[in-house]
Amino acid sequence: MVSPILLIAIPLFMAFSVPIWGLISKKLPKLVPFFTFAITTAILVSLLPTLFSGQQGFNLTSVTIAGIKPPYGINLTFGPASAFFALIIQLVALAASLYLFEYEPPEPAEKFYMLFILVVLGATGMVLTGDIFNMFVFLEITSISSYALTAINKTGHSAEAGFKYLLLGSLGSTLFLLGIALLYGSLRTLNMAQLSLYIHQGHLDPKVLMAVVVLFIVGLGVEAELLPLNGWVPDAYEAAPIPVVSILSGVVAKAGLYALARVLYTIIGIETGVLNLLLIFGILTLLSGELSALRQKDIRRLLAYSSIGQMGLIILALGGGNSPMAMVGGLFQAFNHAIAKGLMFLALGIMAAGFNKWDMESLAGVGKAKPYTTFLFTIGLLSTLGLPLFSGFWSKFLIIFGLVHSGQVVYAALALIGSVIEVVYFARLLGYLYGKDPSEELLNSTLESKKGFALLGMTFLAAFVILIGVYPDFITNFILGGTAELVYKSFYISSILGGI
Amino acid sequence: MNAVGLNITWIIFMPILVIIIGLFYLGAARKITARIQNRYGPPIYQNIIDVIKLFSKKNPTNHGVMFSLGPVMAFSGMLISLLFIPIGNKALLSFNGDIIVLLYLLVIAPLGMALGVGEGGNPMGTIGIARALTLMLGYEVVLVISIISVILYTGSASFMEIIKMQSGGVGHWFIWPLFLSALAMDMALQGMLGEKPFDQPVAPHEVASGPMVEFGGKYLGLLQLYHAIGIVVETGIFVNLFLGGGTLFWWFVKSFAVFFVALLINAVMPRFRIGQAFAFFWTYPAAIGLIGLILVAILK
Amino acid sequence: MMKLLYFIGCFSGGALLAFLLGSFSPLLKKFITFLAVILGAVLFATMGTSTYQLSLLFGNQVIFGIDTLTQFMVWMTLGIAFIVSLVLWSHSELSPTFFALFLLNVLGTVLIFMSRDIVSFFFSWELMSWTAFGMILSDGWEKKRSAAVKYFMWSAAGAYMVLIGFSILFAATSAIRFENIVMSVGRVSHGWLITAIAFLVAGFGVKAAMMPFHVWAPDAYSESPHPFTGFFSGILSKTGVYGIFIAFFYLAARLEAVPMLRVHGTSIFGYIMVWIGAITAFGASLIAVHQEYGKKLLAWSSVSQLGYIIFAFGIADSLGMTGALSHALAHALFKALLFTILAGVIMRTGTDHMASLGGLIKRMPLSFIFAVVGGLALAGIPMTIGFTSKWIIYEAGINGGYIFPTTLIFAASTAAFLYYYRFVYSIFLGPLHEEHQNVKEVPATYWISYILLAIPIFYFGLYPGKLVGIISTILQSYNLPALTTYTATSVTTPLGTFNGMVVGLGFGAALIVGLIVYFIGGRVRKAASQTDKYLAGEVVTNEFELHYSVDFYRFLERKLSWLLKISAQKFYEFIGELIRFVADINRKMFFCGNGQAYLYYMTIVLTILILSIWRIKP
Repeated sequence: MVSPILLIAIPLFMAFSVPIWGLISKKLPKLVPFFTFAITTAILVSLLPTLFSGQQGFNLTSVTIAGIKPPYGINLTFGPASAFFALIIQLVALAASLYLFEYEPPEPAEKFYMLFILVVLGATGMVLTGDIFNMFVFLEITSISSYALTAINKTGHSAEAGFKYLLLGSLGSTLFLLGIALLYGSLRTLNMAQLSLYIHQGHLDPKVLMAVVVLFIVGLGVEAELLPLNGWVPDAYEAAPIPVVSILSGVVAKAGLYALARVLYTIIGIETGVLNLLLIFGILTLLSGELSALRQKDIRRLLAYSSIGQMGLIILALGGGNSPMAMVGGLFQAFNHAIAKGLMFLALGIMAAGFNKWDMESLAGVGKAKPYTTFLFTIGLLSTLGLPLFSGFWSKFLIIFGLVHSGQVVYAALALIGSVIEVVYFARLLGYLYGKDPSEELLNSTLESKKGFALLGMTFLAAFVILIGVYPDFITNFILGGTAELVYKSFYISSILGGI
Repeated sequence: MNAVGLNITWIIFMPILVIIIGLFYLGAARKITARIQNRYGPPIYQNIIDVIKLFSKKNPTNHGVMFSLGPVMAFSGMLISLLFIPIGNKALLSFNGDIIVLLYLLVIAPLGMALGVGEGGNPMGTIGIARALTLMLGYEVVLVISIISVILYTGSASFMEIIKMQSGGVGHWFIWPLFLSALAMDMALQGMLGEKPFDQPVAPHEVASGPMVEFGGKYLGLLQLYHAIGIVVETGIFVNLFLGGGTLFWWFVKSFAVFFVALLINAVMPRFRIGQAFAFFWTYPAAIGLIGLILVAILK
Repeated sequence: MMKLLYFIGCFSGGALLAFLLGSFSPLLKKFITFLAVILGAVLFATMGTSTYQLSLLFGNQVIFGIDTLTQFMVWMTLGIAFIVSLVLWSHSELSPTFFALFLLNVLGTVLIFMSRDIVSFFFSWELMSWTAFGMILSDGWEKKRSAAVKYFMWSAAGAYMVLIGFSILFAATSAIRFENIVMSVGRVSHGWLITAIAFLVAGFGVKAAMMPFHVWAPDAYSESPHPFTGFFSGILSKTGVYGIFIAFFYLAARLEAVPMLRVHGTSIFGYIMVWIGAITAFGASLIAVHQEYGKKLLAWSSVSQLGYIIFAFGIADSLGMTGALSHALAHALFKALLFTILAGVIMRTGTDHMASLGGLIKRMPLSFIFAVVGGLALAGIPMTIGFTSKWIIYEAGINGGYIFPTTLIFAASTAAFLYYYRFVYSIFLGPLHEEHQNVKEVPATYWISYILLAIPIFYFGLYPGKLVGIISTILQSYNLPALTTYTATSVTTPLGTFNGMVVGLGFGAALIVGLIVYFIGGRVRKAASQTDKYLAGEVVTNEFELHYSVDFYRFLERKLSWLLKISAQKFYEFIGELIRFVADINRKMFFCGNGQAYLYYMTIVLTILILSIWRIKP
């Protein structure tokens, strides 16, 4: 029987076997990430039907490792929420790995592919694990690999970006670890279900609990791109290679988001104070991100800021947890954002391929020079703007309705002001892409038809965007299950510990 | 049956009567202005002779279909307006349209003329039209303010209703209770009639008679007829709204009296520049009209 | 159920096919578009009045329904869409994207009128908005980029206001279907109800180009692809009008119960709308008078005409609503006609700069005739639909006692003569320019569409009662006061009567008399060529530019400059500047690029949060 463990074990094996493949043929390592993620995606998809069988309409399986049952042993949980985030990660990783076929990494190439697989592996581990210390370990795997990937270009610029990321990321991890230590010191357990049960039963001093909340938010906020902790984002997105950027926004940020949601909702439980904190962080992140994007000329930085804004919107939605609608919208938005932003970054890579200029002026008129790629980019962009026929529409709609439903009209209005700003800079961007004639240099750059595999991966993502945009119920069951798993503590606890 | 027959006879004869009387108005205008300015002036029937002469003239220049159609449309537009205004208590078509319908029917004629002038292609003519339209934007506001105050006062926009409410002697005329509105409308009328100080559209020294510049022969004749009817219709609106209509004879007497006032002002005034004229309408007459309107709104 | 899916499939499938196949053959994209519109109309005709349910979000049923109002609006939409698709036969140069987006746009517009719940309404609304943006961007004109961005920003702002309004209603009633909202709207607290309706009206007002939310409209209308502009200005703006109707008279049916200041028999809400409408109509028409470009002129005229509709809605009695809805139709018809004519002129001459045109009457006589027809309707001359609707609006204004706004509306209407004459004179009359010697008449697709548009313009002008009849049926079906005193040819209000047929016959007779008088006179002499210049008897050489078309109303502009200086645009530019300023500060602060600073921020946040633990209630 296939087990969720394989989702972690196979990439781990493949990652370290990359140098061996490289000995056989120089070209072979290029294929490794794709085959790894193809296998893991297949495994994940084959596991999905088991999710929707239980009494509540969904099901959570706990997989013990090394035969020791939780709360004493380490376990993996495979419920709708974990599977949902794992799916996001796998989809983006798959599309990005197809892009790798057309991408020449800096030497030594094996290192790049290894790190690439490791980032995804760590993120997958984060969303699947049922043990909070294990989560920290996977977080470290992800983030250390990300630092390395950010700095892989061997220019001063990327080294600087990688270093900034490293500074913030390592401090964040430390704070996260500190939070775990506090929890362990008081409750003597690291199993998330057990922790949740103890906190639910009131074994933890509320003050300590709040300290843990603060440490977790600040610690995980670095990966989840919360406002004052996201200074690394624009630099890293600008300096890192394109496939890495798509992984950073689609995989790492989502894993951080999952960790935040899991910790705050399942372990700590929704409290008004926590929700308010999320709301404030969310709206500030959103507005700051959108405002910063407003005057960007460099498209990578623009997308980076937009990514921050979108993460703010998701956090904001999680803060509207009084209404399940907002929460559902938030998870939906996480999916849409990962797919759409991944798509946009990959498409941007093709648009600027053989050209390597990333500002609007240089890429003006690319809609005529590389129509298909720009078309895919536009799909991602329109989805990010939340326009109908694209998946982003539904999530934004749900978030706003949910926020107002939970009584946060002002936050909803502020979020929409942010969205108007978003419309301005994205519309202006589209104006550059389509409304001008391409320069000679752009016309002479690499043809998009020479990037067939990359386009295949992007088409795959774009198909998702439109499919869900036209028929959202394709995925809504999943999201409802995920929301329930995150919010209903008792369900989570009983599924893992076997009844209270 | 008899009444219908009478009506049909009236519909046929009335325009002819109005045209003749209107041409006499024009003749009288020339005579009176001349006397004021210490000249003799032409005989009072001079305009009738002019029209006959113009129609019998051969070979006026034609610039195209719209150029020919323009004066025809001007004439016909005035004719249809005439049918919607009660003259001497005879309603004609006036039951099928109220004051606002008349206001917009009145536009057909200048519009037709403007299109005709346009095809003529003479810039002087177009400048004249542009001036006329600007002037119209000026006086139309004043006119509308006065008309609204009458409608507000009577609760009806139908001419016959308004005339009926004024029956019963001079004391019942609306010029007394609505004096300010009547004053404003009289000022607007000066612009409508194109008398000095508001004759910028046709100012001979500036734009060489403006719209008329390219028209000759029967075109000019048609425009003369249009002008003749126009004077009666325009003064007629004032008569019906403020002076209580009246029998056929008295109606024309009142109408001429209104025209006479305009003539007197015309004879002694210089011409505004067009911008001044426009600004004038939107200041003093509009203010007077608005005060009148507010008074009506308060008193009502 | 299936019929609705066929209908949606017809348009979206057409869009897909036009997009995919359009690049292979220009004929194919035109043919597909044409066919999809006709097929859609046929399908709609078979749908009758019915309700359809679709399972959409979380298995929720979204409702699409067709009632008399829907039929009225949808036939209007499909009619103008048909005109556009007809005209598009002469426009192979437009991209397949344009054709695809156009079909999606029509679909979105129709679905707005059909939707009966918040979700599908907002879905259709956004679909309509962004496809129009795409069309401007893909095939727009000279300054299309800035116009498209401006349009999209405003349209998003409007849509989000609508979204907030809807979500407040949803939060208060827990219903997404309109009928359920209406049923439980009594439970909504007065404050929230007023807030929601204010957001809705403001949001829809953006689309209806209501001042001060109009600034996008002139640019967007004038820069959109020419064949589409008629639809853009005539129909898409009507979605805003429809939205206001729905928000004001249907969803807020209980608004009357809210204790509010009432002026002249309408709520303070309505009174504000009356004033906004009047100022929009007046201000926009004064601006239209001074435009140098044909499309800009008509665009501002559109804003002005939409002001009439807002004005009439604000009055909110039987006359006002009848006037508003009939003017919605009237404006769609004559503005589509005028924009299509202008599209033809631009196709033949390549410009809409009025000073560069002139004398086209001999080259394009059909276009001229219909420009006059459109102009008659625009200026509100009796016998055309434009007068029917305007007359009802005037009577509504006077009858309701809104004396000052009504005066403004009248002045706006007079200004319409000014800009209309400038439009038709500068393009069709006056001397012909050298470079336009060989201009040809528009192709058949164009003049057929002119005729198709002119028929209803005259029909509803001569039979005003027919139009009022249709609208009264609609109003009665919504339990609103309706005008009942009408026959086929005449309409009677408390103030007076208007009989379109009598006016028409009378004018016909008068025209015959005029022609008889004309032919009594002597023979005429044909003038020489159109390019011969003459000036009050003097012969001038060809170097002299004798087309009086630059600064047409200069003397007026001089006097009104103080009024024209008041510009919403400047205010928004100031706001934009402010936002850019804040954005820069924000970016320089939080993304300064200094790793140490980032660490400081992190420490500061941590400290603040830790210190405030004791303030946060767990």
